[in-house]
Amino acid sequence: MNATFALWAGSLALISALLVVTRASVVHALIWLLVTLLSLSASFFALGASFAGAAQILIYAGAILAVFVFVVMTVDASPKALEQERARLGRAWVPPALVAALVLVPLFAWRGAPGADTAAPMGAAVSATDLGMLLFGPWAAVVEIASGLLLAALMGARHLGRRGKPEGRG
Amino acid sequence: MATMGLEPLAVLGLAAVIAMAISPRASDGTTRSIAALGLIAALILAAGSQGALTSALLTGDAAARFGTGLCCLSGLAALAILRPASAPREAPALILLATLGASVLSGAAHAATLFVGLELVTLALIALTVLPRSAPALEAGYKLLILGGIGAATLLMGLAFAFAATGELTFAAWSSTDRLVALGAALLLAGLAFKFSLVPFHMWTPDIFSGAPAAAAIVAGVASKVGVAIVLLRLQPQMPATGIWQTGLAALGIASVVLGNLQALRQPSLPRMLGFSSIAHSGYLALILASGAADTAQAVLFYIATYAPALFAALAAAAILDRDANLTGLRGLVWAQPLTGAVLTLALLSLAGLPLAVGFWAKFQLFSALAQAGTYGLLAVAILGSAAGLYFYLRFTVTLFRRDGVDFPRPPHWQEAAVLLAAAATIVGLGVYPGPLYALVTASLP
Repeated sequence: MNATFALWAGSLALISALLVVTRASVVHALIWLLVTLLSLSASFFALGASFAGAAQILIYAGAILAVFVFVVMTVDASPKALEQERARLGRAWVPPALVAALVLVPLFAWRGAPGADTAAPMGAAVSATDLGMLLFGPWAAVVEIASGLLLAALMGARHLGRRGKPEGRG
Repeated sequence: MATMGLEPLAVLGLAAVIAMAISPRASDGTTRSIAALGLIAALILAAGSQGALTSALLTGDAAARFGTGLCCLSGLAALAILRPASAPREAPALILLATLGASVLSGAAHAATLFVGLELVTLALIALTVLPRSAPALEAGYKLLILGGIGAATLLMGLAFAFAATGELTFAAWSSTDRLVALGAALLLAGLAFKFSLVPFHMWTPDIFSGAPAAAAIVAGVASKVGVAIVLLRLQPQMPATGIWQTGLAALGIASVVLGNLQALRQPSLPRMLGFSSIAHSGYLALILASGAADTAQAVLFYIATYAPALFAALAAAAILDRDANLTGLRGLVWAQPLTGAVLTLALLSLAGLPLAVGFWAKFQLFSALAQAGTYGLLAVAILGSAAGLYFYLRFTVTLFRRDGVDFPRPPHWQEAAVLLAAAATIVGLGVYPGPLYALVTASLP
């Protein structure tokens, strides 16, 4: 596990992420998304963040992608819809590409500038125990607040999923 | 200086869980009473507790205390104007969660608390927005969800850049002059501008004010703004003076003041006008922050504290009038419903910044801060913006006094009347004698 491997996995993630947003068929996009998530996880492992890498596989590649599969079942995948999607993709890539360039250009331009830190910050490996000690020790308050976040999302989702007629403005 | 412990946040969270757990069985009144009790307890604890937060994640300083108190007040106002007929039972719990998020934000000293607090406010606000499940409410919620998501992603990217360059997650990371950190600061500013509804990241604000329940608009207009403003105040001294921060804030502020006021000019609907004017008021705050004046923090906190009661009163009136809250429906309100009409008049005068209303002192502070800093360009923008504001606030005020009135649907409930009376007392009381508020704000600097 070294920096070269992390860089390789990271570039793989970048390329497959580009393929995700340029595919017209939603199923193809999902498969490339899986590749993106797995290569991100590989780069986490290479950098020594084994817990984050495992969480990436379990939560994103596992749970979240499964939810996406359910969404795919509700999407219209007929050839006509595909054609429409292709036509839309023809122009849609311009603004996101501009934003990405806006972020990437300074990053590359400043790489060789004097004083810039060109060495990758290779920290020590973080074990799951250390992370657990942090989350249930000094960071316990933040974990509790994050549980409030899930509670709010849950109540909103439940309310939107409720059957019956919509009510008036209140 | 007295500090605040974790108790107010714990009380808010606990009350939210209790209000949620009892909401399916208990009556609407019981749920609301428990939520209101939680808010009042948190308010008292924020004002009086002597605990000390030792964590690097949250600070309990005087500014956090001030922000938590103001957020609790806005939560109480939102709770009072939530209409029982259309509000689902979990709404009080959502208001408490949004208040908790804004309070966390006002004590945030670390990237983790900043992000979690911001997202808690946004998610609870989205859930509050879609409560009526009407087409405008769903549209507003959808816009907030997508744009809020973009804002959160931008913010995270900025935090990641700063962390990559410095290996530091506390706000002290931003004092580095590394170019990666400067790029991160630009992204962080853009992310915070989404939540602060600064142009060009403002698209969701008018929809929240006109489509969502008025309670959601109070949370978006006061609680979330207080939190973000205190975060901006805490970040301000860390940012290097030559960086993009000041320039970016000035550009965003000018754009917000100009565009917010211009779009409010021709707006016939009261809540939509308040939404655009809320963008303009965010712009004034950004101008103060960009000027780098010596008393920036005083002016910002004072401005928000005076903006809050006027917005409570105006939105309570909008909630009472419901669909009729527009230029034709408001004709003769002062004669038909003296309480609602008179308080709405006061609120509009305070928002316009006329003397004897507390808004005048806020505008005075704004202009004097900009003049002291010697930023005459920003001062000119603020004065022109306020002049435009005078036109559209007075346009609504004059309508209220017309004799050819229309029929009004219903008088205010007692909770709504209480909000109106408390807001009116604050606007006039502090407008005539602003000393106590000055003292409070001066004691609450971060």
